Amino acid sequence: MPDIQIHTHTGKPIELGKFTIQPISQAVAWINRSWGFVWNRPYALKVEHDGHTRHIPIRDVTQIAFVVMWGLTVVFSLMTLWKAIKDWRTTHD
Amino acid sequence: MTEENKSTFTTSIHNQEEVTRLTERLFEVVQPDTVFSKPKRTGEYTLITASEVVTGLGSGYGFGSYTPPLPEGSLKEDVEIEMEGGTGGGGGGGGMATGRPVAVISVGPDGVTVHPVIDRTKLGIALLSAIGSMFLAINRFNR
Repeated sequence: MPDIQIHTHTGKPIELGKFTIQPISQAVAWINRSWGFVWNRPYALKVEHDGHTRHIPIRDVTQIAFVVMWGLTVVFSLMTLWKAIKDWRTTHD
Repeated sequence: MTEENKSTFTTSIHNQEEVTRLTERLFEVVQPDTVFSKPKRTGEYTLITASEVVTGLGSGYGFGSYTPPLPEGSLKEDVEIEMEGGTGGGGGGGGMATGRPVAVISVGPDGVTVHPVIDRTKLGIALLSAIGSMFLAINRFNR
């Protein structure tokens, strides 16, 4: 059985002027003995400034919009299919 | 991403252990360095590109052997004829890797900001599909 793992890694701190940034990435790894798949994406930033630490999430706007649009496509397609089946049954009964 | 990961490489694999070792190299991609670029300074701002990276790898092999059946009614010990058989095997594999910029991080006098990167082509195609399926649904319901 393939093993799916989710790893969250924090990178080395980067000093940029007054700010210290630590990149955080999240990877989904599905690795078997003879095949594997890894999806690694930027997850967040840990920003330190004046002794305060805050997390800034990194959102993949393209991916979110893409999933929403494909979701709508699937919903409309299923509605069309449902209506087509319903119409066919009405004419054949 | 290391120089080694950027390049294409070929390798010969002799057994299952080597296949497993090669597959485990995929974990090298899991590090944050793979998705965050090195900071680049432009004027007052420093920019870091954050990208999504997808990699896949697969390999397989097989082998077999053939021994012809004994002539009918004969015992193995009785057979003096030379039996021709054979063995053979083969394998193959392949992989892919894709990357897509997700956001640009800018660090400047106004602080740290994350600017999303929008792939208009990808979204345009998805939007056309959504609009097309919506019109089909409206057309079907108006019949």
